[in-house]
Amino acid sequence: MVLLYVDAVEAVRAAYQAYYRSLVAQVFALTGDLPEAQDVVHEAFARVLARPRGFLAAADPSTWLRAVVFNVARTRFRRRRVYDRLVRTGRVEPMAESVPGLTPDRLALVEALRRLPMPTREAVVLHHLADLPVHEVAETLGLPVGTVKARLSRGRAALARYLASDESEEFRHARA
Amino acid sequence: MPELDFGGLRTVAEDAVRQPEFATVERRSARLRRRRHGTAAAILAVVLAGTTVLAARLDRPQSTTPVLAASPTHLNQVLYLEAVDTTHLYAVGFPCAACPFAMNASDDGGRTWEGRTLPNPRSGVIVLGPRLLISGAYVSVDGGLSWRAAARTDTPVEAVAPGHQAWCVREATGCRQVLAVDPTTGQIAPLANQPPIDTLYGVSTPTAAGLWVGGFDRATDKPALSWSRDGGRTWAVHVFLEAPAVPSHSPLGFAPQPATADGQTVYAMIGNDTDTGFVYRTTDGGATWSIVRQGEHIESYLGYVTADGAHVLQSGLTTLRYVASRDGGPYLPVELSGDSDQMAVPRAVDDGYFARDDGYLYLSDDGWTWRREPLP
Repeated sequence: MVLLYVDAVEAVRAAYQAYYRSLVAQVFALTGDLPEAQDVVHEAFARVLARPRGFLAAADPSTWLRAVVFNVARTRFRRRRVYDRLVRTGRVEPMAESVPGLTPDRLALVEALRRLPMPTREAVVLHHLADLPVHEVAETLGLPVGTVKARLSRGRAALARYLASDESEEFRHARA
Repeated sequence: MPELDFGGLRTVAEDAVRQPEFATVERRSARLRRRRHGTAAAILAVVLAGTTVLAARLDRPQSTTPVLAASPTHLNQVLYLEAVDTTHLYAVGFPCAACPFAMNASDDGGRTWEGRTLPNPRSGVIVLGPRLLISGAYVSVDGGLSWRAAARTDTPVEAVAPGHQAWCVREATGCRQVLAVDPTTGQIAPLANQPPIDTLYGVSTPTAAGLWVGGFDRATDKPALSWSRDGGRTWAVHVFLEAPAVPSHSPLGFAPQPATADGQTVYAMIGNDTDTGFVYRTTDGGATWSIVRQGEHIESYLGYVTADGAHVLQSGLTTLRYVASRDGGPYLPVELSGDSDQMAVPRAVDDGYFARDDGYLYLSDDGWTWRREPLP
């Protein structure tokens, strides 16, 4: 007796409605660039729709989607590093900074996140923005739990350090 | 020092997001497929163009049987495989990157495949019986050789008659009604006596297992299962009181996920907010339930029950791993024979089990030992 029907397109469409915004917020925390984050997630959904079998078979579609999104973000990140080098050498013009209406504190957090090494940043974003427990972060990134814990610990310490130094920098400017 | 306000950052970013229409994702996806499959696919697209146009005209049900060209016998990409037994199998996918859905069918356990028609290539196919299919507003009683407009009536029937099939139409808010479908005429009618729970989904089970639906109890919002052994004339219910209530924001994530091969040994898995869950087990068809796991991390919510009653869970994103519980004991690593490390979670059907990966169909008599055939 068959009672369940899963239509691939409808399943992906439902996931798109349910998860797009939260995934964009997570990628934004990774990249600090909202249009880039939106495009990463958009491309990830297009990839899932092109080959939806793994998504349909996944126990937790959001976990599967997050893995695809992070893979796309990593690929883009590698390309972006090349781009950034071109910007630094003056061979291309930098894109305008694109951030939503952030308060100074949150802007500082975004900037601090961007200073973390990408592997550490991924762990911090998955744990603190996606609210994943440590073992699920480990499964998503394909890492041992201990490695994730170490990255989280290092990441939080580095963020605190960056934010504190930024504040003292502002303080020095204010007194100058 | 500024606060590590991750929650605030998340809220601001989510509020700033402008979400494009899903159609833009579909278009981008089509471009990806085109890139992947290259120009050779374009030839098939031209061949199938006539099929696409004709199918588009058939979006509204017609009283006559649509006459369509059969799908090509090769699918570049199989999206999903459906079956109710290990002999009659239906594969839906894309024959080329830019093509609409197409269907291939096998009547010999996957040894040979042939193209069958789809009345609406955007709807996909529901396989209710060996030869009983539904696609959009059409029904086929001959395995997709011909289609007719589905005849739905609001006049309820007492039960799903022997040899007839049940169908639970899944909508955005869950499964609203359990329907009975006549495999000879294609007539569809609601059951007079619906399951007494808020039903979220129906469960694909072998015919002998009866009808099973999952959802939550209306009074307590607790996860619940309902099942019938008389074709939906009467329904039994079990409410899993130890589990957390089903929240409105994620009902499917908290509803019980049952697995069974025979309707007697049934495992029900229930997740919760903290990634720990419950596994319940009955060996007397639902009369009594015992807790196998409570408040523990669950490796996966994808599982099936083997012919000898073991509950096998499949986990892993890139390489599959299996753990199994026998007799309600702990879940221990197990090896399957003849499987692949990319095999989708197997499903129990009337005479065995089937699964698939990207290239092969897998069949098993007992859920442990697998043989394979190439997909179309």
